[in-house]
Amino acid sequence: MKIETQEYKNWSLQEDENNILWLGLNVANVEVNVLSFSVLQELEDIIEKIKADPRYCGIVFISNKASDFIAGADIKEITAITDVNDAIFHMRKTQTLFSQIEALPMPVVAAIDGFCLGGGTELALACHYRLASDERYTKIGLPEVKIGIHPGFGGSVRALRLLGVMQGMAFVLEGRNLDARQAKQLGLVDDVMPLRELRRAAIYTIQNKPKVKKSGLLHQIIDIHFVRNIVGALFKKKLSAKVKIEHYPAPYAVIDNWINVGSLEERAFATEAESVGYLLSTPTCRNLLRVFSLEGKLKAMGKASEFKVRHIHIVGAGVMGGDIAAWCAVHGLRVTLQDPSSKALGSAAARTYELAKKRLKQKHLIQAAMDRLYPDPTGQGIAQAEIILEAAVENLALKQDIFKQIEAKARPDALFATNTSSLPLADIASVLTQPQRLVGLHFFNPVAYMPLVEVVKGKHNDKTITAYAASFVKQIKKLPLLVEDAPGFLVNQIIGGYFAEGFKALCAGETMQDIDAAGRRLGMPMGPLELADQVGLDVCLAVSEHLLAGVADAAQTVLRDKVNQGKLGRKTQQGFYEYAKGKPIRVKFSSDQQKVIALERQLFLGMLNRALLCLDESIVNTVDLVDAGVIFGIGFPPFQGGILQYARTMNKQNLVQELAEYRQMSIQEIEATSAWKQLW
Amino acid sequence: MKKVRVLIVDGARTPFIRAKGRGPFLASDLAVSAARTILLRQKILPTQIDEVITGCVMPSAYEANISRVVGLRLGLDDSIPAWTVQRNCASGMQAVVSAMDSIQRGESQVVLAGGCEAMSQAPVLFNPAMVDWLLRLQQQKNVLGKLKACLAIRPSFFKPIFGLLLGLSDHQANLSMGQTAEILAQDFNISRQQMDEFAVMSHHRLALAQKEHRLSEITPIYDNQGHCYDYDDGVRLDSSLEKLAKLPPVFDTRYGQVTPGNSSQITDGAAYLLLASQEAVERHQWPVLGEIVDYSWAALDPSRMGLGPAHAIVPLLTRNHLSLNDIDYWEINEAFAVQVLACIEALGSNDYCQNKLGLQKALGILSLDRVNVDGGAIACGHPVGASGARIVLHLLQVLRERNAKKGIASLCIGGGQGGAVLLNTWGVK
Repeated sequence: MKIETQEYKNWSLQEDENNILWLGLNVANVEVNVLSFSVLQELEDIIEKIKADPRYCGIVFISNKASDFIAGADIKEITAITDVNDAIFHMRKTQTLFSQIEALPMPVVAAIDGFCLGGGTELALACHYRLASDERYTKIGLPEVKIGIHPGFGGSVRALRLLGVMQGMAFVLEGRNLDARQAKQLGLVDDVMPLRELRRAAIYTIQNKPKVKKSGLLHQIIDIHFVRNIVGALFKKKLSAKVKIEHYPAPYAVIDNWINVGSLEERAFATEAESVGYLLSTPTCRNLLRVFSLEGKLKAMGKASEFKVRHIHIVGAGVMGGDIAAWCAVHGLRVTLQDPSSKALGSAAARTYELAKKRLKQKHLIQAAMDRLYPDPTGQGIAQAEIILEAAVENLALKQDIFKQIEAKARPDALFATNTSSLPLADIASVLTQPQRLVGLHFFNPVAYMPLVEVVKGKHNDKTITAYAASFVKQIKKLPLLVEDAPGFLVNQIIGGYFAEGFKALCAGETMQDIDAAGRRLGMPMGPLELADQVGLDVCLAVSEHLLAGVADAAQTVLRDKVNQGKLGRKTQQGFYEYAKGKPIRVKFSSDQQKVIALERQLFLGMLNRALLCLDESIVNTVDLVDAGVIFGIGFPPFQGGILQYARTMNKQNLVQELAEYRQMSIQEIEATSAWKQLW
Repeated sequence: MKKVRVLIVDGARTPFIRAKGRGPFLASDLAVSAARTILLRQKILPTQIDEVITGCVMPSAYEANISRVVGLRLGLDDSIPAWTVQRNCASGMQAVVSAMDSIQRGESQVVLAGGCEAMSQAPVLFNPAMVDWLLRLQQQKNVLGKLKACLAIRPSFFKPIFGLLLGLSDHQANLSMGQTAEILAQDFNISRQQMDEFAVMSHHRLALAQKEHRLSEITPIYDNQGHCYDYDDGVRLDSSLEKLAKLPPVFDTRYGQVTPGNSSQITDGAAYLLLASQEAVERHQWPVLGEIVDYSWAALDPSRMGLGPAHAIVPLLTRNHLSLNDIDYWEINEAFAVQVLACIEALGSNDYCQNKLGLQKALGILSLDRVNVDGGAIACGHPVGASGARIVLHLLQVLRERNAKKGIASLCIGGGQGGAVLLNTWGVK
């Protein structure tokens, strides 16, 4: 019986002269291949037919899309499953399908080129062989823990069987995506080759059936019940140093599942499915799924135009200018970096080299990135760049002067941007003949780690210009967030609340350690004072007028003292903390838990208050965008789904009361604000 | 048929960086830094160049046809051809005149040409005995054989061979470059004192040019650790006769006169020029530094290679109906102080001009006031592939700065050759 391709919307089936069946996936009507219900349904049908007529001498899974193999399950469909039993049913059904693939009598090969993530990797793990192209865009991983679940199609079981407990567990728990060479090193794929050889390698593998790697004796021993208890406890201990179980239950569940049933027996699959079914219903997972969809929303903002940048000119090679230049050069742009100081230019070149080494790894790619970075002390690049970004110090007259010079020399179609974090865009634009060309592009420090860039729209801008700017942000693989021009925009306005409460508490006699512990307890990556050290106390002081409203005087006193002593934070090795080799020297300190909890609430209210004000002032228009801003711009804990999402989980009555006290307004007044109405 | 006028639009070079151990840059790193400055300044699009020609004597093993490496690293379009020329010390000059030829033949309209050299990166080689041993070891199939072959190693095998020294020697004449300079000192009766005086002058002239910011052709270059190199660091502000007198001779090591102090320095550097037909210049409305009018090559006894400039200059002047005094400024590359002095002596000598240069009488006296007015390779160094392009570029700067018209840039070439280029800044924009 010949299987007819025409029967399937997503799969194309082709039998070649070697009697090998090529199962090509090209999911209909979407950009990337995902394992949707209909894809799996069709695959089930195909496997049934192969089982009924096993005349093929091999099966190859291959993608017919340009740059991904299978990017995972269909998140939208998964999100829509709300019933635990429905979820478990779906997992079990897919596990059965994958087990049937694993049990096929002929060799089954996954020929991976491009993204192979989540469910895609689980399918690949069920195949007998995995081959991967060494193209830069090939990534293989199980990132499920990042959305609050773990693999549910048998992946967490098969990963342990294939890689052994130690490596397999690390692979599942970290959720890191590996490139092809790393995957080969780990033993996740059997061979790596250039894309041009992938098909021939698949044929070779089927015809020669190289020996399949089996988990060794050590794995069998570690997988014995009482050993699992001991090793599992060690895994948990290691994990607890990174994430707390209350915040991220999924990785803990992976360990628990293994401790309970191991990885060798068949019932491990059932345990996995039940565990995922449960996790899907947890608030953490729902919040992380929300973060995933928020990321999609921001990415969509960058798709509003076809604007492409080849050459960016950056004025100012300080911390921000230099790091933005490094980022752009590494991401394929020609960068002319203007600064009168050769020391600043040199430091930027050195940082670019470090970033390129880390990101690009291969020598020729690093060299190409360095060749794209042009130290340009006299600003020759202005005349050629498609986008000119100013990242000078926060001084209005200086910035105005820079833009006057830029406008005189730039191409008529060049876009102007300023990285100002505290000056009104309109004031800077006022010196331009064509003020509509200037937008704000607000990057965050450290540039390489903060995914968000605020695209600031002034009253003088029209939509085309901000759409161009957002496309540029997307081009360099950052997340654009359109915000209105107001002091501090969105993110700094909210973080200002965090700082303000931190400084207020410090002035009120609380200890640095308690204050920062409170910030971390809230789930923030750093406490307010640690963060101030990171940003630079001089920078904090400069923006304090705008952003520390209410506590400006007291906070300024604290900051000015430090700045006058030359203690500018991390960059001078001294700030609120002392630093040795770039790391803070931590003094042992026993904090008062009650006090920390109270401080945490204070920090939270400080930020929430500002977040609501931003919404009231329409700096962004939706609760979702506020949350996207705090998560990707501040590092607000993703498992809470954002500051407003977090607020929604609280007791409404208590919260409005606290807020009323905080703002010294009546409850009715708070309830009358549009932000409050949007929140509930 | 009237010849196409070939104009030089712009030029830039890296500082020449004195070799102190292996330097941070490959030759192509230096070349990219110099050339991209020109492309940026003149707003050149990746398709607007027709050809890249680079002179380089010792590119690294990673830089086969280094000119193509440079073209690609500059981000020029894939479709732009690139080729490398090697004429020893004149490689950079050869690149420039090859560009001129290409434009005059109509092959190209716009050519990026120059030279680069990372002398500090010159390879250190295994000696042949070591290579034989390694090959024998590789050929053995079994452990016993390998062990036996292994034991055949001798300490003498480890003696390395310095590629740079090999490159700076004439293996036909069996003389090092410095020894050919010693021969000229003998021939023309030039004293150690004269050489050292010339060297001091070179340093002082370069130091003055640096102080007065007259080396605007230099573009700073940064290494990956963030160090900035923005001047020719071989210059010695405190150079004096007393200090130079203390240096020992290095070529004829016992009784010789040529010392590191009165020779050019080992340096890394690159210099590039953008050449274009007059038509292309007008079309793009580019500025013009000057015109490259003509050039000439000559060859002579390899053991007197330092006189190469004299032999190249004479036919160039004759052909263009020019006398010595029609030339306002000169760049004669300072491979060795004695070699420049010997060239001046030769041109001023009835005997030499009649017997060796085919003239009726001496060409004339070339005043040092008009030669290497901002110093030369003794002060800034001689990255062999780059120097030819550097002196052309700098001479154009000198002519423009001093409102002069004509100049000749010339250099001697290891192996017994000389090259000279006639430049003109009169009547061009």
